[in-house]
Amino acid sequence: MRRTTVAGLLAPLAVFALVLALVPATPAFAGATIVIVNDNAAGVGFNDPTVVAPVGGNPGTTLGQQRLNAFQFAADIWGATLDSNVQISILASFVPLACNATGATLGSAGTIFIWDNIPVNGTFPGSEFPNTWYSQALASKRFGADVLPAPVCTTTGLPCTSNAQCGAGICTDADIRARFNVNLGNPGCLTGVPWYLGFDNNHGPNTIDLVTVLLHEFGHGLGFQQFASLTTGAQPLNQTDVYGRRLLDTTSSKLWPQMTNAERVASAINSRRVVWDHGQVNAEVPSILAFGVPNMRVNSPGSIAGNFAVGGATFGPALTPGGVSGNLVQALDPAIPVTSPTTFDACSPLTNAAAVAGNIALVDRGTCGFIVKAANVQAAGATGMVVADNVAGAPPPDLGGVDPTIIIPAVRITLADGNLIKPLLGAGVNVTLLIDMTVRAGADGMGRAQLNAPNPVQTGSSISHWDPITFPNQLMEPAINGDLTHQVTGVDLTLALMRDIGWFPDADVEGIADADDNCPFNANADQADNDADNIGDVCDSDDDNDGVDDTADNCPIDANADQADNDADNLGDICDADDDNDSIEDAADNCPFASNADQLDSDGDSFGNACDADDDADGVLDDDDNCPLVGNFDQADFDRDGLGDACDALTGPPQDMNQCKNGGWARFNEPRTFPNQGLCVCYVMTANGLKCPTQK
Amino acid sequence: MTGRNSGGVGPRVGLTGIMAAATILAASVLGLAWAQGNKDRDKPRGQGQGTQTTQPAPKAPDATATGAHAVTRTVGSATISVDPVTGRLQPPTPEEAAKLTAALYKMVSRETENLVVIQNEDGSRMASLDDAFQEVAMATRDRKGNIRVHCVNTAAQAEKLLSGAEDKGPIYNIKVDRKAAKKGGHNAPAPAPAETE
Repeated sequence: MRRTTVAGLLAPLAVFALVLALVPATPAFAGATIVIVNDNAAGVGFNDPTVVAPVGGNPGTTLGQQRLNAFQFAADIWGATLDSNVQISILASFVPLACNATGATLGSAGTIFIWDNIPVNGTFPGSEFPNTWYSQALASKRFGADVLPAPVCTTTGLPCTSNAQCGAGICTDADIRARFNVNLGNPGCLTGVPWYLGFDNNHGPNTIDLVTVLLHEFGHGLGFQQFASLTTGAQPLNQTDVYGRRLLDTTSSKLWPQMTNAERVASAINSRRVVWDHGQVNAEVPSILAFGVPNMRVNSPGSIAGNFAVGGATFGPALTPGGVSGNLVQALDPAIPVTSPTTFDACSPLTNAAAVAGNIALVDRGTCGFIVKAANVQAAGATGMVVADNVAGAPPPDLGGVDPTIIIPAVRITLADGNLIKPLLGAGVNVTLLIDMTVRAGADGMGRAQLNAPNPVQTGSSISHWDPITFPNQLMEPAINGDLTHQVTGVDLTLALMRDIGWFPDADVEGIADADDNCPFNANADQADNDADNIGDVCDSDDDNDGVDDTADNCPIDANADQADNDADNLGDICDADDDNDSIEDAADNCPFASNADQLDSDGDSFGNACDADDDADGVLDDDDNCPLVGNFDQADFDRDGLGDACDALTGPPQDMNQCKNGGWARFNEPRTFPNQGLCVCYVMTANGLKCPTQK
Repeated sequence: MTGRNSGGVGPRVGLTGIMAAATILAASVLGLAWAQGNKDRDKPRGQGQGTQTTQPAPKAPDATATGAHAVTRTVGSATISVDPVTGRLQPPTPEEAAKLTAALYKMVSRETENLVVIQNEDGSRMASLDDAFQEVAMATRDRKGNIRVHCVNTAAQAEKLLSGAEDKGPIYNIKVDRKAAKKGGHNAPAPAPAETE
């Protein structure tokens, strides 16, 4: 847990603001807790007491409170999206930043520390790759604990307790530092264009939505960033970062870590040929990016056939999927000093109108406006216009200008492409200007998302953003567009990229990715799964898979669909240690299913009499045995009284007739009827053996 | 993580200041930039520390000033120029502007050679990016009132956006008709006025 002390507060308002900042919002799902650590002193920035009216769902009633609320609102959006069991802290402040009347630094954010070789920690996986940098918040997520639990100086890395110990640096354990311009909109600082502090994205034409900018910059701080220098190609300590591991240059087919410094510099300006090549982004491109990329398709000659990137035009008709086809014909016009110095710029009426008519005119950029060129080639009968750039660079920018009389489509190609095509015009170059509906805007032909790699480097940082051609507009494009929603998922690839760098979904924040977790929403680090059905026991309603819900199952973790319960004690037999409830555990019970506390076992065969079908082990089942407890396999029953001789105390030959008459030694001849029918035959033991007395 | 930072510091590559030379150059770019003051040095960041405010919180200033010599006051982590009569913020001095610009350039620095690195006993390493390697959002407004918002990470980009040079980025304060744009296959009229020649 990070610091939560409030020592050193200097004003009651600051106390309030800081407490507000440190109270983590409850995310909609497990997510992550992101706290805004208020780095402003009393009275300024987040603590500015200026009274304001609530705006756009932001309930704050002071300027400082609204700023803080907006920060927390943006943090909560990310917090509800990413999963971590470690609190993420953003050291934040509103301070003066460089600006002037027409340009301003809005704010900055980034990770303060980066980490490598994060070890495995229980169920937490640590680094996915060795010798690879991770932003601190991500490092902690993958470590399952705060990798930096106490403040250190940013200038020395040594433990500290105050900024005074840190020279030009600061003493902190925060993950991300964010500073935003406190003066925005004031005179001399993008005058009249202040922050919009509402939550509803309803910024007007002259305000800048703070939440959107925060979402973007927080995204960088959370890991949407690579750390190699784009001017030297050098990487921190000569090792890549996890973001770089996903960057593929489709020209060289090399990933960024495989490149030399010089190759990285070259790749950073290899427009439209640096792509993100990994699982989640690749999977989500089809559902997020729209089809339709303006293209010039060269149909012939075969040597250059294929798609050429183009910039569209703000005038003329939109390109269509079917496109406009024709031969490229270089427009010729008089070389007029100043106004039309070359014969290829179409800045004056064409001299080869007959050749151009019905075809697509190729003109050079320069001297006059694009709409002038378009008007001239249109007047010559061209069905379209291709402007070849006159300066190196890629991708080709759009053609600007307004002229409602232009009715032919126009595009721009790069200088390099123009120079490739021109020598072949004599043999015929047939092209189609179209919207290629087979390719998604912002992805290459293989469906891989493209990263911003303009040549030359333009405003908007390269590589650490999506290509601006991406459509719909994405949160992490180099230009922050006014139509962005406050979403980082669903309509945006940003979250997918976060997944790919290691922010694996882990709803129960136990360190096991949801995809590998047998209970994604219930922490169960042991992954216990009694019935091996890939549903962990803590979230399995039928742990033994016997079809009986655990809540009704008399043996929840032992399959017993029959719910047999011999002793009716609500513990099923298969999980009942004493199935007959005779207080003798089944393992020691000679009749586990028949209560016999005495454990009587007449025949010593280890089966208690209570459950032994042949108690005397004489081979005659008890039910048929005339002496169930005395072995008498012959079942001899001299007196035929149903008790075998072996167990009949009154057996043996009668000694006299009375005894014969009165005792149980009578025998009824068959068939007999009992009790008073039939013939009594009595046997008497004589010297000659058994004889019937009547026969004596 | 056990053993982290224990026993002091592991292998460390020294510390260097960054972009000092850029300070002077930058001052000319930011004529009206406002001042960034000294950082508060009392406590670790995040504990609500800071230099105590000595003035009421600044109200939204207007362009009017009394002409009196501005005085500087430390407000939280910033030093600002204040009109002694009205109490309103004043444009920065060249020195203040230079500091702001230097701070901006340090934010976007990608100097990789002299990072402070701590080796931990468990094999992990921590590198301090200090104040650099930040991504910086910037905005411009042209004469027509079009606002453009960029995210930059080089000094050249930052300098260009503050120089008043033409900004060809997409216009922020024009709502794009997504439906129309999609119907047009991403070829709807570009929201940004592109180069016209």
